[in-house]
Amino acid sequence: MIIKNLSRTKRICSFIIFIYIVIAIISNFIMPFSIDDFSSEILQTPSFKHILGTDEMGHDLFSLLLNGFKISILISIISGILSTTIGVILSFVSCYYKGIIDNTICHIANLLIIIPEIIIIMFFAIFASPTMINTILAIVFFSWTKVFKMARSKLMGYMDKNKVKYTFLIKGNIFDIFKKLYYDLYPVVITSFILQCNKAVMYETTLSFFGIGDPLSKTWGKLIKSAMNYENLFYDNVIFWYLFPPVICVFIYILSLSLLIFDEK
Amino acid sequence: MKKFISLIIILLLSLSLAACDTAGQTEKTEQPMTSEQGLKKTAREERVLRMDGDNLGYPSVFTSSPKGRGYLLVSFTFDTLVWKDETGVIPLIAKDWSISDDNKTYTFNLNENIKFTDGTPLTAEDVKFSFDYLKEHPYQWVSVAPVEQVTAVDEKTVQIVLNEVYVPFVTDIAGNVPIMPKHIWENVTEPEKFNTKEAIVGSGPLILESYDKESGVYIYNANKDYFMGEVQIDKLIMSSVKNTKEALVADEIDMASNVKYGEAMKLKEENSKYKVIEGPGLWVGRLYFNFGIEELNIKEVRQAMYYAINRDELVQKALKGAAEVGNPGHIHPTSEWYSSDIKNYDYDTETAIELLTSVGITDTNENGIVEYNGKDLSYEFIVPEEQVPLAELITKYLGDIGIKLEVKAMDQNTIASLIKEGKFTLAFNGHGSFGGDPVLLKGFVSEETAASTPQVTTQGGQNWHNEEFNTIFNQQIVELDREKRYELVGKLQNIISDELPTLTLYYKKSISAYNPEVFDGWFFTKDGVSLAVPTIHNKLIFVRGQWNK
Repeated sequence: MIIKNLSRTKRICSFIIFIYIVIAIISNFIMPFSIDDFSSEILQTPSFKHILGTDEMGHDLFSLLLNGFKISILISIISGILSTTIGVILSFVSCYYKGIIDNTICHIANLLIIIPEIIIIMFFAIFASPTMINTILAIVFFSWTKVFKMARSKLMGYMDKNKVKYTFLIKGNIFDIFKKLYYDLYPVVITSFILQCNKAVMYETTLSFFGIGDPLSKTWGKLIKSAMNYENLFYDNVIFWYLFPPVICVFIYILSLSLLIFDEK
Repeated sequence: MKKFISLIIILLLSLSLAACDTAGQTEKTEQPMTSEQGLKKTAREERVLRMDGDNLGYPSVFTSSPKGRGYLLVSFTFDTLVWKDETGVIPLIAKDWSISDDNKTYTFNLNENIKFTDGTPLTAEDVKFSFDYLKEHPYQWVSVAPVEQVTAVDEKTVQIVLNEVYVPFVTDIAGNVPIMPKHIWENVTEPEKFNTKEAIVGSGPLILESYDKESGVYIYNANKDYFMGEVQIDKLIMSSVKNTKEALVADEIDMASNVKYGEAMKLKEENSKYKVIEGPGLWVGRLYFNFGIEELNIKEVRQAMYYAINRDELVQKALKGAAEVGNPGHIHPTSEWYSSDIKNYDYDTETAIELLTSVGITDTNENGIVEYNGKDLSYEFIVPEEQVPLAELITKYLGDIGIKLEVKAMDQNTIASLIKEGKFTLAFNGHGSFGGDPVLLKGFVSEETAASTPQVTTQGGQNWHNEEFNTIFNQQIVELDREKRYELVGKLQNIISDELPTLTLYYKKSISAYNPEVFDGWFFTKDGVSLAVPTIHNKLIFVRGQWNK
């Protein structure tokens, strides 16, 4: 299977990602407390009841961390799928029609590449109404450009191939081309998808750290932010169960995704 | 060659060291000669007090920040006719004053021997000039609109005539108009740009030595001839500090006024070396309603919301105990104007739901949200970014009675301006200067009144309107008999507690920590310094405090 072809590092990484996804799926069932339950005693140290203690409002930190898995991975995968799809579709459109359509799409993509994505995303997220869907849309609509560029350059190389010329000859439409070239494009799509998932988590965490998006959603970024705002964070080891867990979760996720697409040769 | 160069360097270094040394010495030996008290002074080390503070602009009257703390910096160098300490109003430039029978004419007798720091004596002319000048150049901190005329009767007597009776005149106007030297300011036409050395010549206890525009470091020297008595410190350094508590413990500052409540509590627990004092924050956190929305005009809806909010838990969890629970009558419970004859709203979800049902607001389509005339009670709730925990609690509380909120976090200034323009549905915000005279209830009066107060309470769009409230408000503002006025103000609070034009959620506490081994005697001023500025920066401390180092 695919797993067998992978190197050891990549196997470990995919295992970690798999664990992350599993946690995200079952998080609702293993969460000891509901995320809007703030009735616990505030600022408790870790115990059997509260594995990571409680925050200054009485939320169970472990539950918040688990909820972070759910939201971050959901956002990561949805925006990964959507932005990759948009990028790939646009690259096909642009290669098939060429001319003015190709030019227009390329110019838009170039324009978006010039401005750092995170700035546009923040800009739009601020003005949109603060919901998770808008955050996802903002991430999707401004991060498809790299996928598009990669896929397009790859496709352009295939346009001179015989099978493509043949399809054109028998007056095949864009879907026929797509069918012919999909397998050639497969590695690019997978790589960009993982890359996009990776980026989406980073963007989401950054956005929620800056307080953009739904202010009440409990993501890793929010958790990091509220830990940083807690004035006595550096006393009594609070930092170990308040700030470090979400930071480590984000870090490991991003690291695993990145290692997965590294070319080791 | 190498040796030669290093020799030269060493030589140069030692020379420059020697030069420094001699320079220092000459300064030291020269000082006692210039100053008469020099002999006494050399006996003690220079007393430098270091405090934290924000960058609030050049501390002259018109160039400092319009915030309360900006005015306090001005007050270090500019005295006023009267001032306040922990007990209330005390004389400052004026040694005493009398009020005419019709309560419109105030006669102030000024202290003898007050001098501006440039040596010119302060006379009645300067007082008259200052009032006239502020009339001509409106000053954001205090309005002199109620003043009709100021006359200098003789060198040391000033008579101030008001247009109308204005009860809080002494505290709010005489206690805030900075007395500026006429000979300097009479030629100043653009006071907003006046920031030379001359602009800070006043008669206060401190003299500005330097202000760094970029870093916001203020260095003040003591005014050796201050008429109230000897200034206990020689130098005051105020600079912005990143982590106030750490700076205090590391002995970088002696007074931490920006310390956070939780930090100060921790400090009190851990380290008995430092003193922590708490005072009323004179800052109120309120839930604003937009009265352009039909159902929010129904009294019962607002009452139900208030019943549904657990204010005790709110203070405990969202504010970490750094506040006092809000009073339905709006006035701070420790204020002398507070009335206990008000309607109370103890946390009770049942009553809240009953109230909503009584006006026909129920969940008929069973989507978990109650409806009014078929429309869901679902609102956007705007809160300042740092108040998200509070928003979370309120969303939960109101969710329990079927009102859905969608929270949007913004920065403080945006919220203030949205409220001012009336472009909001529900908003949380707060404002300071919440103490002292009950003119602060003016924010609820729907028409023009004679009262002057900082425009911090304004709310745009359609407002709450209550004829009875307006009438009583205008009665009390001219009522001179304290008892009667208290009664009227009590009635106002009763109306507020019943009508709830705003939901008073909490009052901030103010906290400061300091090292008493350096300088002790800090106090909180009654009703706040100047116009209810809830900090510890009362200039009297520089005269009254004890230097312990």
